[in-house]
Amino acid sequence: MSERRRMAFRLALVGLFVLASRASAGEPCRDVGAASDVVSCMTAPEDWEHLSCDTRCQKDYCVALRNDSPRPDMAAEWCLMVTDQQGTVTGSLQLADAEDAKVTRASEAGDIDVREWDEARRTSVLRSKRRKDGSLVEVARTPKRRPQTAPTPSPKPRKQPEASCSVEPPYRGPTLTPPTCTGRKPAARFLQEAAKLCATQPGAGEQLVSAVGSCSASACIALMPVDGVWECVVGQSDGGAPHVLKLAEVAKSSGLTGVGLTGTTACATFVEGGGSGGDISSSACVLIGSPDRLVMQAPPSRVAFLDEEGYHTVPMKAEPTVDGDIAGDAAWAPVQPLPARTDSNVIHGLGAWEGPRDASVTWRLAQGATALYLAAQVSDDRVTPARPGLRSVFADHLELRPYYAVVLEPEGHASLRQWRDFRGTRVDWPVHGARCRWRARQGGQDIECRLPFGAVGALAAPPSRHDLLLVFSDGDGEPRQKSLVGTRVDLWLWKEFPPSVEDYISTTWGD
Amino acid sequence: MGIPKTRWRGGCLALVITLAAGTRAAAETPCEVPGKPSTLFCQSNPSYHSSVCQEVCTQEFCIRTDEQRFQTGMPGLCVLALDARMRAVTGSWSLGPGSLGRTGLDVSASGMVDLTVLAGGAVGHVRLTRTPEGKLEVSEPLTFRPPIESSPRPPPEGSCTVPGHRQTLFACTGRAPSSEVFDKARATCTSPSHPASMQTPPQGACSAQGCLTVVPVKRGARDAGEWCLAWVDAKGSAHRLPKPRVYGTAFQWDVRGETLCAHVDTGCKNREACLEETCYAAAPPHRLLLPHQRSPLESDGVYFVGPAASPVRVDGTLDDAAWGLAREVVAETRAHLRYGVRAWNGPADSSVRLKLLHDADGMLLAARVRDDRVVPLARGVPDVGTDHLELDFGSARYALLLGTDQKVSLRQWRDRRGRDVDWPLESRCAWAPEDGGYAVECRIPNGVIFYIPAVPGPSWFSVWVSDADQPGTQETLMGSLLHEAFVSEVPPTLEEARSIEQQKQARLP
Repeated sequence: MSERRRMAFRLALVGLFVLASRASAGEPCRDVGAASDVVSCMTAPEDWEHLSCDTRCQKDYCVALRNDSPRPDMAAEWCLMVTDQQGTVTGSLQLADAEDAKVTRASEAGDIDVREWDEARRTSVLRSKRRKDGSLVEVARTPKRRPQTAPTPSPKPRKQPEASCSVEPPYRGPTLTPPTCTGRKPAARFLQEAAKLCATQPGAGEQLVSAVGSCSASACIALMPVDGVWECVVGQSDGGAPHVLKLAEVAKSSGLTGVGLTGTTACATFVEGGGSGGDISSSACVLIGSPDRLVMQAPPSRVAFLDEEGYHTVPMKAEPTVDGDIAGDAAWAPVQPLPARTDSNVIHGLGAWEGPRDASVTWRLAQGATALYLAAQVSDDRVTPARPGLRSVFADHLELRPYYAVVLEPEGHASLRQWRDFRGTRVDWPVHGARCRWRARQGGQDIECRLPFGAVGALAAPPSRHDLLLVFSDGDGEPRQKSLVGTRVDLWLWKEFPPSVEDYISTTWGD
Repeated sequence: MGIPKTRWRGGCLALVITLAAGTRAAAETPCEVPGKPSTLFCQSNPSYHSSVCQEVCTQEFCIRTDEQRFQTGMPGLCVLALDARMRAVTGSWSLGPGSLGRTGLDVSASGMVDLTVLAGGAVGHVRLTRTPEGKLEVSEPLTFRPPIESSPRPPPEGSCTVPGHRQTLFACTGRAPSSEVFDKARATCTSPSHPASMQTPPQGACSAQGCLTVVPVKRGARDAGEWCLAWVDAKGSAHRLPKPRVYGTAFQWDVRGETLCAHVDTGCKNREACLEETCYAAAPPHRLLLPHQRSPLESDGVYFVGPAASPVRVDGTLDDAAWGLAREVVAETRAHLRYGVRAWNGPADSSVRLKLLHDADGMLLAARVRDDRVVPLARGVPDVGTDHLELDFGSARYALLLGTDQKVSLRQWRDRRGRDVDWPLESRCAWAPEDGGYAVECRIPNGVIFYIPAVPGPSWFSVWVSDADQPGTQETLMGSLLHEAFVSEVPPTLEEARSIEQQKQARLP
């Protein structure tokens, strides 16, 4: 076979492989013409499902993600489906290997994007298109990537670090080629102590090589091999003790390729062999100290702030008074708002939704010493509290999915109820110890709650992370939910800011 | 009810032998290499839920239990001795692959290590000694709690063995049903999609109260080898038996009075040890007849929590009629100790009899504790060092503390990720001193303990009684391991039992 033919054959094989992979990735997961279970999610929203019932609608269609079993004896899998306005399935795509998924775009023209997370929390984006006939086709899928060092936005490109060490990519096999380090050379004593510390690490064998390292003006780093790979990093800031930096645990990665040091900030990069998907790179930065801390950009507020990885809170100095007055309470002033005001926040009833004045909400979450505080400033052209003859699910209320709801009662009282038990069974239990109040104001109502740790059993003590779907359910006095306006929140409760590396690792363990 | 005495004894013995054999083998091949730092991480990561993970340290050394993956890929229990300063492993001992279970660990400064092991439904004890070199040696071999004497059961009045590799049809012994009974059973089993087969004859076996009949049915026009089980009582009423979960794995059905019992092979290696019998009321609504109810002492297992039939007044006296209908769980043997083997002086020192019920407002708990010295909450004494009960949900943990004026306070001591907290919770509880101990009566409102489910629903928690004869020192912790099933009636209907099984399989929100 000539070289050209051989090349053509290889290309054909690659093409076939690509075609085959596409076919398996984009298989339909619901029958076209079937009545969609999206309908049950939409038309009976009092039967609200868990977070996987994520539905949004455009003028011509609705798109929904469901994570359930096609049959009771089959494992749950994610299915992206589009329906017409009557709830009939017109197209669907199965999301292979997805552990979690979220619709990030559903345009009027039918461009639908879904972000997927696999078991290792690697993300990719599935781009799909709803055709005019209602069918759904996969357009593209981005390669899987590890998330950047959470919860920080990736560190801004810095100038050349003051000191750095680069390592041969380890995925090509164990290597004892020493890293190449630039910058000021550390003292011999520091390198000896680093070698001793690394020798106590799991997998450390007999050390046949010396530690290498580098220093900035205020700190030093040293690298040692463990199990044949240079991945033990020791740091020491001026006046501190040398200790192992948990950079790999923060990045949830292995395959160290380099560490840079600027001041006391050490940033490591990792490259893991990603198989057919290519290499997966990630990074992590820590501030060397006692304790080491995660490097996070200075937030606009030191009480609660939003970044691309979630909504972060630290204990407030002055806690709000729960009386339904949000704007007049200084405690809420430094808390960053989380608005849900656009049609992309309407998870049910887009046809009935008349815009942000009809139903929208600005959320705030804040952490007290023993409780989480919640404030919802609702825009609502018709305030409808629960009353005799109108079930609370059809009155205006908040839903803190997957478990809780705040029901508006007469005279400014509001109560936190548990609407799902821990297994998702429908219940209606009062939550003892929680306090909620609401106030009507021009163009809507303000709702405020104190949710004590312990009494609200789904909350874990800080540091902890919570995946919530916050929803305002707009009632219009009829026995129906007119619209649901929601926003998903990746809520982090920190004990202090910036969080220590230990707190961060314990909070994200299992993610 | 449950496994006949001889079979249970045989099963227990087989389990002991199996684990003892594993123990000997594992003792020669420790689970960690001495000199290396421990790679186990149970204490460093509080969100790790494994309940086998425990660590007790003295000034010189630490003893740790954890799950270890063996070369076969199977996990098993591993006990490590660590140097307290360097955390290096100095010795280890293992129960071998497949020996997972919850453990109780008790360590003395002199190096005596008492380990309670709960494996395969059996509770055992082993005593290890840490040698001066730091190795672990067995000083008292693993022994399991003795089998419980249960009242002998009468033999079945009839039996049908399920078609298998030795037979192609059901083979029934005992009094055969009459042709009239078979006709009724056929009519009951026939449906448009599954008509009764006219080629293969039905089988059956009768008791004095009725007949179990097995009717071959077709799938459409095809004889697909499927069967329908029906009960025809002495008055001639016929009922199709809904397929319980064990239907697919039963190898024999017995009929005894108005009870049908399925014999199931649960599929583990030692068949004798893995045979279970699950019984149902033959007549609708085909209630499940409390599997695993071997004796009150044998309290680890499935526990059905039923509703209170009449109001319960929470005052610590436990004299309400409703408690008379609740099953009792007893923890009063050495095998029920989770901690404090050497401090325990017998059931009069510390033991507990426990009952659970539910009503519309929440879960009701009654505990009668034997305790020769009651130590309630006192100023200056740490709460954990006073007499109390603990509700252990694996990661989350709660405590019922004996306060002044016979009030009991409910506290959450670990959050849902297993972190230490001390949060007060709403409850209506009372305690009262009794001759030789005290009683606790409690109503825990719905939702207060996050992992108590709605009815019907499964949960999984243990109730421990913690004894402190000296204020400030937690001396013993003992109780039972239960898989609670909250049902609307005891015994539950097959529908509820099935719903609970499905909920166990379902993904949590």
